Amino acid sequence: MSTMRPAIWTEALKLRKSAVFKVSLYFFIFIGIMMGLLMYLSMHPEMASRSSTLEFKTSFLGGSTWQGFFGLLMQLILTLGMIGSGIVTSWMFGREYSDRVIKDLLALPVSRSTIVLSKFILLFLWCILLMVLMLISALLTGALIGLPGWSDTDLISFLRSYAVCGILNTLLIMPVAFVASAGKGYMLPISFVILFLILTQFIFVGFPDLAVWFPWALPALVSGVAGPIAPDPRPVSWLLYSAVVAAGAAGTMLWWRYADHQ
Amino acid sequence: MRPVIQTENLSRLFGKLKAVDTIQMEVTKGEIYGFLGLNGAGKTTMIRMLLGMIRPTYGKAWIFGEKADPGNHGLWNRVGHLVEIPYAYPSLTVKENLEIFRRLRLIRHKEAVLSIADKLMLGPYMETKAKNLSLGNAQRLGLAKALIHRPELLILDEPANGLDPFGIVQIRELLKELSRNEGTTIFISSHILGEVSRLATRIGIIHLGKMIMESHAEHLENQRIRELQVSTNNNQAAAKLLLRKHFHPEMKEDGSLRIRDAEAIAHPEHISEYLVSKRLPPVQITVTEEDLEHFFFRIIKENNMTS
Repeated sequence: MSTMRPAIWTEALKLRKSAVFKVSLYFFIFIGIMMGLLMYLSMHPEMASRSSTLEFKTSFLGGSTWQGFFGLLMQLILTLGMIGSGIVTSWMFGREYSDRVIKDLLALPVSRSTIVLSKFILLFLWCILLMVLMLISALLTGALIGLPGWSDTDLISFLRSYAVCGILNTLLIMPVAFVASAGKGYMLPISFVILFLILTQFIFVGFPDLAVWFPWALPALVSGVAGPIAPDPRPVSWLLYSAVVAAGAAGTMLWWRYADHQ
Repeated sequence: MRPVIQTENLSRLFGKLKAVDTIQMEVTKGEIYGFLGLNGAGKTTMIRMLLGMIRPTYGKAWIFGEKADPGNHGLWNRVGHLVEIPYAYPSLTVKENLEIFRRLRLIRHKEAVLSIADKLMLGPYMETKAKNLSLGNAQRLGLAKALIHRPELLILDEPANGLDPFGIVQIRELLKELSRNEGTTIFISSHILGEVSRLATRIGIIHLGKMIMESHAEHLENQRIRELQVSTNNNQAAAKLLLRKHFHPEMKEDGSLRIRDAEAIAHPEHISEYLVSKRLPPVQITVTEEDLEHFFFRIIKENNMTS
């Protein structure tokens, strides 16, 4: 594994120096703050009454309390989290093709699998960092606006769900990485992420019973945010989810190792 | 001694197109092998197969006696490569780009970055982002990445692309020096015979995927057409006189005469004396040699006719 260190070092340098990385950090902090401010509007509906759109949105929050805020953040991590992790994965793999530097990574003493693995490790850390930043900025904003109804028990239960769903969401980057590698760029994987997000929503709205068979729905099933109409995850849900994650990881490795790189 | 590069019926098909067609090749240690072909001849596909980036449809390739396979990681640290237009991470500086390859090449000495940058005159650009480099300097950075680990084999795909005449001479001298002083084997592709012939010890010409000619650089001279060009005040009369002497003059487009008989080329003074004695003294008499590009095109044309 002596080649893992240089691979991680180089991926970290590429990441650290990129605009995408910095923008993603600012964006997730910004979203956390905005969610806090949305709660503030929910606490003061008279401010929102001037705008019907705002009123409409704040009415969806499920109460101007910490409990309502935690529910909002769970919905956010399941949707924005999925899009965010998908976009950063598309960038991490797609950039090697769009910057046309992929050929420099193919005939090295560091194996192609090591490079892919180091990308996965950094992507995982990056996605977790984004989740944590959004959480901290949201919680701080919530505290600053004096959101009522704080409960330590609620917080612990929320943090547990947030972490589990966030990690489950993040692991779904594996198939995105495969699509980015096979599609040789950003467009295809981003379209893939959006398509699967829409499909997930569609299943929850139209055919909630099918959600147990749809791996991309598992984080939402586990979180329980979909409400009483959604079933509990079954063993087969976990099995299908694991199969998709494993197939994505193995597919990406095998693609890098065996596909023609023209 | 085992060849550094060896291929056996190496072929690659893209659909029905034979991009590389049953190529047999051997390159021995210390050679500079010029791999010549027009655009689309199959040079880059061949190079990518040698580097394990594309799988052959059939046939095999070995580098240092080992199969050219992506899994042979140990092998790739003995090889440096530059494939087509070199690109680098645009938002990273020259130094950072080189540092990446120092680490990925598992080189311990940090000085390797500075030393290769100096060698390729990239010193003043170390803190410049790759996206702001001129095409010539980007090409130098590509070469620096290929050379940073002092490879025993260097595979270069059109390395002179984008370089100005000074840059071309500089790279040529650098490659010669590497071959001479470090015994580096160099496989270099190009579509300009004149450029490759100044460097290569052996030349192979690929056309439509097939190797149509292989020759040592010094033998290339013998294969180029030489002719005697003669011009007098009456070339038609001169042609008749020369025919009588069993030469085979041809009238050129500009009206002058061309003679390809070996005797005429070896002794132009005999032709001159003869024409003077017949009161048609040559106003111009020169032995010319087919230039390299014409030679290259002729070989390709002849191949087109036979295939």
